[in-house]
Amino acid sequence: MAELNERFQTWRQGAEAEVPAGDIGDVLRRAARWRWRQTGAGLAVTAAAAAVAIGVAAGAGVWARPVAPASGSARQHSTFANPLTLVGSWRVIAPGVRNVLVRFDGQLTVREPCGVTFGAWDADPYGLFTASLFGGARACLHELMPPWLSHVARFRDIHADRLLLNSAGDVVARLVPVTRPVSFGGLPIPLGAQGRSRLLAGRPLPAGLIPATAESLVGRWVPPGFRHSASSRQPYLDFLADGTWRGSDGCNSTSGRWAVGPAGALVSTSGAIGLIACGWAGAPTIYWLPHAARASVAGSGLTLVNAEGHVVGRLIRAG
Amino acid sequence: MRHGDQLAELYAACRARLVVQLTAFTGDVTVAEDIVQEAFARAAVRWPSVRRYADPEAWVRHVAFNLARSRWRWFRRRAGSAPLASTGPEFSPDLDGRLDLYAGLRRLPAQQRQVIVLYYLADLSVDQIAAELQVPAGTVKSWLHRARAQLMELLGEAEWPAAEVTSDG
Repeated sequence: MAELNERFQTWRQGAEAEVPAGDIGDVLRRAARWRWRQTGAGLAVTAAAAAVAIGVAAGAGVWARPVAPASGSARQHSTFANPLTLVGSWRVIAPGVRNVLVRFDGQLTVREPCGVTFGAWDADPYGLFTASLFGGARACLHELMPPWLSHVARFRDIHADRLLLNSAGDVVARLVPVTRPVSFGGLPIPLGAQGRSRLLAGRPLPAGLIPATAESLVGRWVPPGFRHSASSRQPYLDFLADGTWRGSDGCNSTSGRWAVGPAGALVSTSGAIGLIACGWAGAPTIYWLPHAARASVAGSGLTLVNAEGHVVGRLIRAG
Repeated sequence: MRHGDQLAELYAACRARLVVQLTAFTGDVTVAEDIVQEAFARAAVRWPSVRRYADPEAWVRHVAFNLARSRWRWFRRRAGSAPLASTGPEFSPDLDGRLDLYAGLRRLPAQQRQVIVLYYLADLSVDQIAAELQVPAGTVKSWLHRARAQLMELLGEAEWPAAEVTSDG
């Protein structure tokens, strides 16, 4: 029992430090609305608004309801979510989507009526989620990233199902477990110990590192020795505000998606990487990102840290 | 001190711990934040009375847990399915102890989960919990005993479960 007490105390200390600061102004505004609703003047309007809201919710279905109030970036994240519970096969429930199955394991596999496509996915215990598709059936290639997948920024579990949400907290798809064996055109790719470790990303940033935010991470980053290089073969990582990234080691280019959460938590996917030997001409920037679970931005420096808390790469802002 | 200042002081002092307690109870920090804000809004409306209570934080916590249970009942009526215990713990204990505690808590019945949260996260004694829940102290002891035993068993199970990849290729 002493061990249980100790574990709860550790939990409490860590979790309280992570709770974002609240604003008493929000409480007072809510109180004012609540008080207003109790008055006769508010009742008629509130009843009408409630009727409209119920009608909209009933018509739109569960996937369209906002799941959480969104009044700050920190609220966009569930502090506790288990990315490993995504591993497996799911049926996708989303507007305009029929007969689509998805499998999360060591890769992402999507089975649509047009064929099977594959790609990568990443998630973390803050509920961050990102995915990208980069190959598969030619018939599906006209639309490699279906809308139900391309706008997803986080996930949540609800009973046996999983919800995929956009950055505003709206549900864009619901995943229902597939209970019977289905074919995805290939064997599952094992997640492996490294994949599990990366998904759980349990280690915080080393002391002294400042957690990156989405705003601080956007931009082009280059290895320190390449800041003033005019070569067209300059290694770089380019984080775009639309949630995608591009990069090169100087010889091979690739791209993917990224998202940043509390405490510098970083999830990312990347496409296939060429195998042209770069030697001293380049730097392995694009190989760092798949190993990075946390990011720190301080001034003009970016530090990428893996799930074990070790620094995997350092870059500086270009230009 | 003005009423607004007293409320702001209480909010600053206990919001974080209430959010953590409600997160443990509801399983979702966004829901917990919303419930805690709602409980404080209700405290603001009744502040002239609430401020006179011996422990205003206890009042806010009581309201917050009631709101959480109401929301859960509403959700269960709408969803009509099983409680939030569908997925077993799959965490490596060396990565983050909070995660497997969280997974264990999710599998406890609401009453036992609340008692565990109040005892371990709110630091209330058995008598204080009994007063807060308006049940005899013996009942709280019994719930606490059962909850601990079940939690320890669940945490024991969570030692090294492998995440099975479905072999449905």
